[in-house]
Amino acid sequence: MSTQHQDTRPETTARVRSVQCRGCGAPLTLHGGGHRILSLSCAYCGTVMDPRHDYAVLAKFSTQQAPFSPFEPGMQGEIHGVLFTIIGMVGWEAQGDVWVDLQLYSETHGYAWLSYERGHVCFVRKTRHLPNALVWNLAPKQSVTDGLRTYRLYERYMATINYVAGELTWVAAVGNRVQIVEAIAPPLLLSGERSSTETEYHLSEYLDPAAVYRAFQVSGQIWPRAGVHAAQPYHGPFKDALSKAAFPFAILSGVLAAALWLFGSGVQIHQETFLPGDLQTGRHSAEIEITRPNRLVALEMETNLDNAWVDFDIDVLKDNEEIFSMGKAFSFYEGRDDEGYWSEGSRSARALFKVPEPGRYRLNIQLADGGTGETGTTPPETTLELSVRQGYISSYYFVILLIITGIATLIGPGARIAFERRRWKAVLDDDDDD
Amino acid sequence: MTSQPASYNCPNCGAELPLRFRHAKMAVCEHCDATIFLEDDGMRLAGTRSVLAEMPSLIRLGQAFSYDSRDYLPVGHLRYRYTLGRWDEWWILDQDGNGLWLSVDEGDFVFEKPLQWDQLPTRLPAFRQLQLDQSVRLLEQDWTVTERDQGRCEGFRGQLPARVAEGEHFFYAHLSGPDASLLTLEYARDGTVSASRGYWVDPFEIRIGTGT
Repeated sequence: MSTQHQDTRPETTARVRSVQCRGCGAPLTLHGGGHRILSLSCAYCGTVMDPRHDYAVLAKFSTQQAPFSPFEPGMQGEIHGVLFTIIGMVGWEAQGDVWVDLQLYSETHGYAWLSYERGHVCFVRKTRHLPNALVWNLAPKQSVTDGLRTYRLYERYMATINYVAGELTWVAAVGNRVQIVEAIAPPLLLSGERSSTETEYHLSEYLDPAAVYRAFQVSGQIWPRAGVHAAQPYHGPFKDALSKAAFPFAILSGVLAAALWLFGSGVQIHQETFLPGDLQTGRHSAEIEITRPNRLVALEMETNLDNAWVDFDIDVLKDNEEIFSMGKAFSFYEGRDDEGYWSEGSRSARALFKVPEPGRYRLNIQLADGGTGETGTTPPETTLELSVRQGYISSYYFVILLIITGIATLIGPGARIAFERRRWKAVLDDDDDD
Repeated sequence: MTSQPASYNCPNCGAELPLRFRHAKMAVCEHCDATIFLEDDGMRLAGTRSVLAEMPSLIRLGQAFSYDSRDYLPVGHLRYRYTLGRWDEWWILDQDGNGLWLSVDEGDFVFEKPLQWDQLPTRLPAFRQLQLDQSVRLLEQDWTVTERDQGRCEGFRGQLPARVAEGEHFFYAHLSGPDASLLTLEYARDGTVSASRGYWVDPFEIRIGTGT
């Protein structure tokens, strides 16, 4: 990994040497962890020793079991262009979750941590930009600042150490409990750790696990990421690009659809009423003067159906010769039930057609079929109010385009919202449980 | 007061001593490692030689770096030993030619400016009065004593704003304040007290340059 292009590689690599465990005699490798190392823990027998006092035994925890971690003491890798050596390891558990913190040491940049949990990796460093102490009393999603940026409180919990190995800058002991508060501004996570003796704050940066594995040359089993980490930034470049590209088209198609809906209804050139008797036998309309050939002509039709349905045959005639024929169905039902008034279907409909040349045309409209109630087969009596408009422009295709581009525009934000819901679900559910 | 000339020649080997700042009080010849005291009326060969062991460091003498959009040039280097190990002090010049200290100890970087006497309160607490975790109000701010120890100079090189002797030792206290601020009080064996005030610096924000 490299975000700073500077040569910070130490002129000498960490000085590796060995001591014997004071508990079990096992050879322990020291990875040159600097002069602030306060404890050395044996991975074999759990003995904790004091490197500043001839490795005197501080404590012993024989029941500890090594947690899974793709990283282990002795590994070296670059983070942000700085060479770090893993010198120690602490296992944690809290609320059923387990994770591992690996102590890092750089001869030029000092100490840091690599935190590994469920396939997620964070680079953790002590921060001297402290939040207000009220951070310990905030509710999830409330804001807190460290003077540099604003975070949202994520969660508070108690964590317990269940494993220690290698060199550490503090005396870690299995069973030690620490109260932790976390606030996030992805990819950053500000955490406070409060023990019985001190309070410290750290700043974690979420890293791409694959890049860290490559940097530390991790081989063997690598677990995929599980769930969403608190500090994990949303990453959806394809969806974001799709949304960004679709947005102007959605705006354009929306504007066009609205403009056509408002101004594309054409000019009314004829209006006529067909009575029930006309429709039963079929009747020609009066002559309709169409002056704009090859443009859409709209038939706006309105019935007075009530709990009935009808099919009309509509013929377009010129000089009493049929040039075009179509069918149009109407159905309208209504009623009341326990939930109140209901209705389905529509009494009105629109039919569109074009004529090849200007001239006088007639329409022949006849009732073809129909029924009343749920099962009736007798065509109902209905009138038909007919309005003919020419120069009609349909907004249908722009509405379809608006729907498609609108969905595409919402894919990026939608995916981001879903990601954030998954991020907060665990802590908000816990909060609800409380 | 006589101002210093732009350059001197080493009284030991004759090589030119290109002084990078006007108020240098001490310089180590890059050619023969002779230590030279720079005085108002000339210079004096201190006669001692100081050789610092090369250790991995982000900061290097004569290698410019930038932090927070400002450029700095390290011109002097001191190394001290204390109870835990060693730390380095770099005398650096900013882009306006002003000097300040950059303290480096295993990834802990601190910029500090020496405070002049007229900036200090008339009574500073004695070293023995300062205890770890004690709250102290100084310079109209509350501080917490986070470190107290003694340091011994192991060596130096480059150009420095004050005379320093190898083996010289002193007591010091670090007082931490809000917003990553730090106040250092130094108690010399002759009873003088000096103070520097500054702030912690993130080494990942330091950009190393290539020029000198």
